[in-house]
Amino acid sequence: MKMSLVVRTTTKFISPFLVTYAAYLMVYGHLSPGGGFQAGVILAVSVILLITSHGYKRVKKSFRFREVQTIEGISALSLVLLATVGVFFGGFFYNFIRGGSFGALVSGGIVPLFNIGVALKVGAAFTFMFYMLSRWVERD
Amino acid sequence: MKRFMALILIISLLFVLASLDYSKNQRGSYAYYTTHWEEVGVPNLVTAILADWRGYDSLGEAVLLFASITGFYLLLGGKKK
Repeated sequence: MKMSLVVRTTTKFISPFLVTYAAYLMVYGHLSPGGGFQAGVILAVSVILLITSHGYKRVKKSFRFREVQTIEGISALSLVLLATVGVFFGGFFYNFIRGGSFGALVSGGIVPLFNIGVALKVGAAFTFMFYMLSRWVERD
Repeated sequence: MKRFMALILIISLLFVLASLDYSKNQRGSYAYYTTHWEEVGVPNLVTAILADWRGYDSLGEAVLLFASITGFYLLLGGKKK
């Protein structure tokens, strides 16, 4: 299931920029407007665009089903672990990493780490859903 | 015996919950956010609310997404082709 040449070229051109923008949003989520969920959705859209234009079978070779599943599980586990480590310092979700000046990139303790985890989780989850649906549609 | 243990657990939890500090801020939640902003150390107020004060909420959303993924895999996964 392929779309026309114009659509394929445009999506191929746009997807890397979308990934770069998602990485910016997830790393700078605690300084500028943005955050985990938005970054994850944009990360998923960059793959979904490729699926809709090139077809599921072509994209499956580059972004493997098993890898998406693994990223999703590992990020979900790391979120829970990050929250649980705080128990040893004072409470669930305790911000145990202090340091960095107000407004610097490396500051805010666990907030940037939490953002990155949420972004990877949401992106992998939406990609996984789209893989599932397109695999079910192209089954017969 | 199980019921007795559960009763003890519930009563101790009740005491813990009743002894927490429930005194509310005079001018509402927005004034609390702006006066306690320095505690979090994050310039973006929305991220400070979502990832620090309401971290449980974000974690719950992530778990909800994980549950939906599990449901997708259970319904549509199955064997390959």
